[in-house]
Amino acid sequence: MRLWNEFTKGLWKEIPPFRLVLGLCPALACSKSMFDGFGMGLALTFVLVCSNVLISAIRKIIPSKVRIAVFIVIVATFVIVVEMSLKAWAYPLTLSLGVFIPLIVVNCIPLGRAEAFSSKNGVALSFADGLGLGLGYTLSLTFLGILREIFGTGYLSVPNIAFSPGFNMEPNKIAVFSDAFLPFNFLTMAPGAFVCLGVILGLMSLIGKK
Amino acid sequence: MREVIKMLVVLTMVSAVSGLALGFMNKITLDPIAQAEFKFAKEPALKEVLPEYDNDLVKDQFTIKEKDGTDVVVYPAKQGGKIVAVAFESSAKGFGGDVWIMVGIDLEKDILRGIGIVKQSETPGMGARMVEEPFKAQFKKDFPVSSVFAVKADGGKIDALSGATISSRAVCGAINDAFKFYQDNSTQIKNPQAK
Repeated sequence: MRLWNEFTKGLWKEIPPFRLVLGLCPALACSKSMFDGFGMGLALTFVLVCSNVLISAIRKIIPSKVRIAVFIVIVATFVIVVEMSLKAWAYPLTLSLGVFIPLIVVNCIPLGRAEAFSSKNGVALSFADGLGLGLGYTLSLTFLGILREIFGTGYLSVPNIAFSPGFNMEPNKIAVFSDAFLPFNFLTMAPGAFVCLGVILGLMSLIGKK
Repeated sequence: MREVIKMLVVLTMVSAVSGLALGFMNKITLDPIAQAEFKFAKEPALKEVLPEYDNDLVKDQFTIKEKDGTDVVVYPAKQGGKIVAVAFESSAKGFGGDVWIMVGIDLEKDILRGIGIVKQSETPGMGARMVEEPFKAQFKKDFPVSSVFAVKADGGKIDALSGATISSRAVCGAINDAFKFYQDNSTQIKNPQAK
C-alpha cells in the first residue's frame, strides 16, 4: 500500500513541474513539441529511477559529510549514460533537446529526491518514488508539448514507432487542423511557454482548492 | 581519522565504478554515434552536393592530411567504379561559432557542384537562413575551382544574406579554403590509391 502511495503521489499530488514547481527550466525549454517533451521526460525518468535505486541501495555506507558529492557523481554518471545512448540511438532527439540533456545533472529533481527520499528509504520505495515522479514529469511535459505544438504550429509530432528504434528518426508530423487554421506562433516561443505554464499552474491550484 | 578514511574510500570507490561504467558505455556507443551523426548531419548535405552514385560513401571515404596537420575526410562519389565527384567538409568562423559546409566538386570539369550546410549556429532568422535555397543556389552555377568567392560588399558576386554579412563571408571563406585544398591535393583526390 505504501509503495502504491509513493508511486501515485508523483502523478498528481506532487507532480513535479505543476505542484512542486521543480525542474522548470527543461519544462519550459523542451516542451516545444510533444516529441521533445516526451523524450525529455523519459530521459529524466531513467536518471531518476536509476539514481534513486542506487543511492538507496548504498545509503548506509555513504558518510553524511560527502553525501552530496556522492549523489552528484551518481546522478552525473546516469546522465552521461543517457546522453550517449540518445546520441547513439535517438539522434533527432539530441538535436532538439540539445544542452538540456546534460543539464539534468543540475536539475533539482534527481538531487532533491536523493537528499529528501532515497537516502532515507529502502530500495523498493525509492524505486516507486522515482518512477512516479518521473512519469509525472513525463506526462506534464508531454501535455505542455501537445498544447504548445497543436496551437502553435497546427501539427503534432508523434514518434515514428513503425520502425523498431522509434526515436532514431524524425517524428511524424500529423496535421491537426484544416489548412484554414492560422497557427498561434507565439506559443512555440519562450514567452508562450511561460504563459502556458502559468495558466496550467493557475488551473491546478484552482482544482486543488476544492 | 577513521571517518576521513571512510569518506575517502567511499568517494573513490563510487567515482571509480562510475568511471568504469562510462568507459564501457563509451565503447558501446562509439560506433552507433558515428553512424547517427553521419546519417543525420552529413548524409543530407552529401546528397545535396553529389551526383547520383552507386558506392558506399562511408566505406570508400579516405582522409588527406592538410599542411597544418588536420585530417580532411573526402567522400568520393563513384559511378561504375570511377570517381566522378568528391565532397568534403570545410569550415570558417561565422557569427555564432564555426560554420561547417559540405563542398561538392565535379572531378571531370573541375567545377563546384554546390554546397550544403552541415553545422551552423548563426542567428536564427538572419545568418541561419544560409540553409535556405536562395542563398545556396548562388553557388550552383558551375564555378571553376579557380574562382574566388566574396560577398558583394567586398567586391565579389555573392549576394549576402541581409543583416548577416559575417555569416555570408564565412561561407565564402570556407569555399575558398576548400578550393585551395582541392587544388593542392588534386592528384591525390583523383587517385586515392596512389599514395
